[in-house]
Amino acid sequence: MSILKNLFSAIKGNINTAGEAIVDSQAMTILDQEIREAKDGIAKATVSIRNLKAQAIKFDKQSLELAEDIKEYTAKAKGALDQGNEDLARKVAVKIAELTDEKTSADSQAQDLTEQTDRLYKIVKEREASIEKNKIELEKLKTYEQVQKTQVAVAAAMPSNDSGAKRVQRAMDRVKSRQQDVENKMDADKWLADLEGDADLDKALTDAGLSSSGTSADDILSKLKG
Amino acid sequence: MFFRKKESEAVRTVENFAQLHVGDLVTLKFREALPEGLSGETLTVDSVNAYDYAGSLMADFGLRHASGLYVSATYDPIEQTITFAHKIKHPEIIEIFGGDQLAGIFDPQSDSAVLDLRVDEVSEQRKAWVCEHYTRTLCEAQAYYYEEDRREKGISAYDDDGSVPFTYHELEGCSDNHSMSIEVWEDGETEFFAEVTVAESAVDAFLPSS
Repeated sequence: MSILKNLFSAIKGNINTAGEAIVDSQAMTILDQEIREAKDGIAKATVSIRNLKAQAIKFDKQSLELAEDIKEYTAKAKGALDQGNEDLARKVAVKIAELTDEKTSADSQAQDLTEQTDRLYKIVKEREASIEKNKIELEKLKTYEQVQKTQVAVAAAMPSNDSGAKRVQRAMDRVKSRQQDVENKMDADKWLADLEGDADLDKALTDAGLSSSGTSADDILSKLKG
Repeated sequence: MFFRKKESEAVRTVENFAQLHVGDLVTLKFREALPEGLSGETLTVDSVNAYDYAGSLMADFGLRHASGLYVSATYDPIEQTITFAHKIKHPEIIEIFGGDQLAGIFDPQSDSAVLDLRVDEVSEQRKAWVCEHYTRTLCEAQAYYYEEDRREKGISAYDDDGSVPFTYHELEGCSDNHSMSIEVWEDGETEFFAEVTVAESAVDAFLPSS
């Protein structure tokens, strides 16, 4: 009976796949506990099966010993008959009959126990496979829970529709604008530098009498006379 | 009102061969590689002793079958294999290998000590335990034997720790799973063991005692 009781507690651990349903952490705790109890039940059932199997082995051993005894007494009975001692042979034959009955009983007990233990062990193996499957489902549920927690945390850290986001945007715009100002100033400075550079050149050309910039009065008069 | 939480009784589980204790049962699957008396049978752990091979501890499990067959078994946790060893008595070892070949095994000067099986001399029960050819792989190595379970205590550094020194030779069989071990004790007694190695997956069930 205790074997069946332990198996029933092992059966309790059987659940259906939860899929991606909303995770209920309390349900997971309960499931975790049930799996642990089921495994404990299986461990106890295995010890009970071992005790039954040990009994089967004891009957097997008994059967083999009885077989040896039967073989010896049979040889003795033949010996008695060879000596013509039928009375003795008859007494030995009675003993052989008793031993044979004992052996038949031992064989039967051993076979029954072996069949029972094999059957129970098969059930235990099936339950173990079922528990293993439930353990995997529980791990999946724990992973989903973790993913959900992570999603909530990320959403809290990165608001998408309130003034906070706008403030960030404005700050980024200001930075961009300042950056642009700096770039513009750099361009202007460069332009002035270039300009000053050209002025120096023009002066140099003028000094060399090679200036073509500016219109001279003589040029204008030439054109007018034209 | 006081509520007492009932303490759950700790129940032993055996997950692998190394965790076996005296009184546990081991059921083996039907395997061609396993000799008669082992294949598909249930064995009782009768004893747990230990070998110290060059500072490395190896548990030695004595296993008994209802028929009276007694084998010892050692477990390799890295390869996850079990090596079953069955003692071959002297008259039989001489019959199946011959005295001359055996003498060569004990000669350390011999570079290629080999044993060729006299197939015709091998009994039906012995056939699954041996193969046709063996080559010596180790000669006159030193080791120690503890006639007790040393898994909790480990190896001792002291000489008077109860261990018994011996010399051993190892031979590799021509097939993947056969080997032989020869142990020579200080009093000169020599023991021959035919060995068969199988994967731990050949175990169908570990049934622990309480």
